[in-house]
Amino acid sequence: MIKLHVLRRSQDGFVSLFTAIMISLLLLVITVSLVSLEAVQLRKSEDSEQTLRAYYTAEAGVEDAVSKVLNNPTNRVDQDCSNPALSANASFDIPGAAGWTCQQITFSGSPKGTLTTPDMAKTIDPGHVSSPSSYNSVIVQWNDSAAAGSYSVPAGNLPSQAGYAGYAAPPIEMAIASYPSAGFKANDVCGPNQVPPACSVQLQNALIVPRGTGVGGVVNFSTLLGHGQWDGNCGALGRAYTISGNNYTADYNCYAVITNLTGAHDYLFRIRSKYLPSSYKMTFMTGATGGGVVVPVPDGTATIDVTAKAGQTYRRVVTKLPLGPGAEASLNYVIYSDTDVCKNFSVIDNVAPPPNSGC
Amino acid sequence: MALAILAVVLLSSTLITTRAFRLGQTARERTILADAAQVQQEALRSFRDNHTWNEFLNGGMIGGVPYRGVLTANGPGGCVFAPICQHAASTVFGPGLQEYVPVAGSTTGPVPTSYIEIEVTPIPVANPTSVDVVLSYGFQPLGGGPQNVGHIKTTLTNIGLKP
Repeated sequence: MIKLHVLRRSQDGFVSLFTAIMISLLLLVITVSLVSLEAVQLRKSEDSEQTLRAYYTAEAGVEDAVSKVLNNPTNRVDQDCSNPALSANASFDIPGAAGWTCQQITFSGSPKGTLTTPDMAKTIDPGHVSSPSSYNSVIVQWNDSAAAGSYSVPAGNLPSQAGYAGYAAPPIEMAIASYPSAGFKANDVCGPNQVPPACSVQLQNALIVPRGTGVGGVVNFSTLLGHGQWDGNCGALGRAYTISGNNYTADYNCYAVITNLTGAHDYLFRIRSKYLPSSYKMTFMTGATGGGVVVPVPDGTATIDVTAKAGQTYRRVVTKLPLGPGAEASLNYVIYSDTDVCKNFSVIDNVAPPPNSGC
Repeated sequence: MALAILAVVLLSSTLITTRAFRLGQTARERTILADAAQVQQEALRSFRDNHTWNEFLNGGMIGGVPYRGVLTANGPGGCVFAPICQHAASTVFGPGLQEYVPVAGSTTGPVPTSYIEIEVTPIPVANPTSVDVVLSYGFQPLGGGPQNVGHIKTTLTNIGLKP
């Protein structure tokens, strides 16, 4: 009887101990979970605070760059990150705690913008570009809309404004003035139906019409004279395409490559969107058919790109500062006609039109 | 034996959990305060963007009511890190005329015992074209202990948005 009682007490003790251990384990799990959750909260808080500090440090780097640009209006030299003495400030905040690691300032790029109303035009004057290389073709991209509609206008006469309903991208008219980089005289201006080498200053027009994705989107500058409509490669945003070996993902609905430009000439472009508003971008390329590498041209802005670090957190801020004259800031008034018009450029004051001008 | 184990585990668990909760609460409050600090930074940037550089530095008038600039708004009043400081406060200048302008002293933050203060230092030239803005904030964490502080530094430049 006594034995049985002792055994029972021993069993009770074991059960109590086992219960205590189980409760302890449960509490341990709950405690560890809570501590882990709070540790995550702490880390998130620290991260967000460092991110904030890095962001405002990067903003300070941008403001510093703006100050540099505005205080040196005649010095438009790009600043890259190769010289830390100019482009970095590791001790902006408490020394070593926060600062910018790279402050890049560039004054050129690929001109882009928006033609906000139908038939609005914009002049792109890249000037003479020879460094790092001249350009030999231009990729013109336009319209970045996801609107429903057709991207293929049937061949033949262009519909009227009223008849253009249902199309998702507008036709683009490019007027291209070409002149020798080395300079020219009044007599060098091409007359009607005249092409180089008989003359060297010419104004040509190209009407580029959306034709779907099945066409190459090529505008050959050397055969512009007398040519009808040109085909623009147009389709949905995000599609993949290749131009002379370079692969692209479409940020714009349409593109066409103006080919066979020459580094011996300079060009002035006027882009006009017919019937619909449109965004546009012009990318100048070294290759004659749209290939090669991008040639940055003055685009009238300073692009400021700053990367800053606070603790172990990096933040990058990129901004554009509008400046004075650039590729898009000149010649906003020209004579325009949808039919034949006699265009007489007074290249030099008080000089009579050349005999072959036809005017 | 079982009771002793249970008591020790329970006590340790309570202590650890309490400590963890306090840390987590401090972190949460710090995040809230950092967000409020960002509001102050953006308010000052907006003040710069919507006024001339001279008004930004020295103040002016809105609807016939004067306001101070970042160089003239400094004053005592709850400043912890500097003898004089300022903060951005949304101020009504008349019907439909309300905006953030610099005001002397520090401001309380959105969590208990918190404060936010701004110290503005111009570059040391006669007509400064940029100022350094150091925004400091802090609060007493739950359960006592040292002040929990942080700061954000940036620069504001005369970018000529307003002539």
